[in-house]
Amino acid sequence: MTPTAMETNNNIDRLLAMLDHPERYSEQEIMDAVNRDEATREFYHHLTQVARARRSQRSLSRLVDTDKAWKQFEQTHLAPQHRERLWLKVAATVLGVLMMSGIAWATVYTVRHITATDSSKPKTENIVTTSTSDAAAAPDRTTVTDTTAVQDVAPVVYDNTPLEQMLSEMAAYYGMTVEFQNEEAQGLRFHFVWNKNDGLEKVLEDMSHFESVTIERTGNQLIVY
Amino acid sequence: MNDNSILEGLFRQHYGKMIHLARTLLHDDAEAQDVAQDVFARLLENDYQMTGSKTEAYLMSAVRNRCMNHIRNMQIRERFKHLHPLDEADEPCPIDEMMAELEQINAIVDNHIEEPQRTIFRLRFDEELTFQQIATRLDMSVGTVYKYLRQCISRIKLFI
Repeated sequence: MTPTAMETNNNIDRLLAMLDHPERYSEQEIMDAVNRDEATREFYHHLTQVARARRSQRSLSRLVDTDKAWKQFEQTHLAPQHRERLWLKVAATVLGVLMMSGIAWATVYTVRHITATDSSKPKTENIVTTSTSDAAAAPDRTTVTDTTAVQDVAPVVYDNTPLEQMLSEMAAYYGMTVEFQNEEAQGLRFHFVWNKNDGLEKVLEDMSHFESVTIERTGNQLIVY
Repeated sequence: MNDNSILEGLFRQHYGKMIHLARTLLHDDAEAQDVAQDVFARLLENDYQMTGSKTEAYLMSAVRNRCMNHIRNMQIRERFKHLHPLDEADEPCPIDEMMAELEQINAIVDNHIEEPQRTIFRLRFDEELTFQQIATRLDMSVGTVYKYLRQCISRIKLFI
């Protein structure tokens, strides 16, 4: 029995309504809606054609940079060893920077520590002599930084490592648990340098640059979406 | 070394057209780029032998096949969302014919679709708003938006 024009229109409207929220429907429901009757199926076919036509139109207005594309191709496919080396180089540079900053930090700390000790002398002298109003000019010292923070733990370099492994190691270190809400994310692999001296917040911030996953902290739990 | 310069020549000559086809078939520019680059990577692996006149046809169908494969591997919901074909057997027609038909559709939209259908068409397909958003923006019921879109499609159908 062929549906009436009104029935067909209703079927098409239902299909269009579903297009606004495909995530609310099962695959079966979508397939059923598209194939409800011949006219609706044909309508969907035309929608696909129109969508293509407009993508094609938009594509024409965006220039293709063939030169850049070729360079990218060359780099990826014509010199694969080069690419690996490049990554190692980046990792080495990052490590270098981390170590340098570690040294710099340690230096700052030492200098500070020394000046802090030194400054205590004039201070006491000031108190003893109580000569001038120089007391106000006595350096305003902040408390000496906690010595445990100086311990420099070597960074961990993850090279194409599954997210699950990375996060479970980090979670253990920071005393957290991990929950994967997004199962696909478990197997995703990333390159990442984990500086254990960084706080968890900083690490999470750095990891927020990963595309396709979102990691959130709720209490003692890291949740991956 | 010499081989690479031949490949580079092919790349420079055909890449633009290939990207255009991939962008037309897929909805994601980055994917389109991957597809076109993969086709050349494949040539490289297979120690390609290209004969002049058939080169372009070969490259273009390689792009088309990869795109269709990519779409087939997408979930139904994702395909539906971006208005990709759901039917496996939907793509037999030659690429040139398909592109000509798409051009024709664009010409019909430019020349034969009147207001208010035209605005609704543009908001849905060019700006990719949802029907609900279109209804809100134009201050009409969503049912009216559906009706105008149905009329657009019927009109386009008249001409092709």
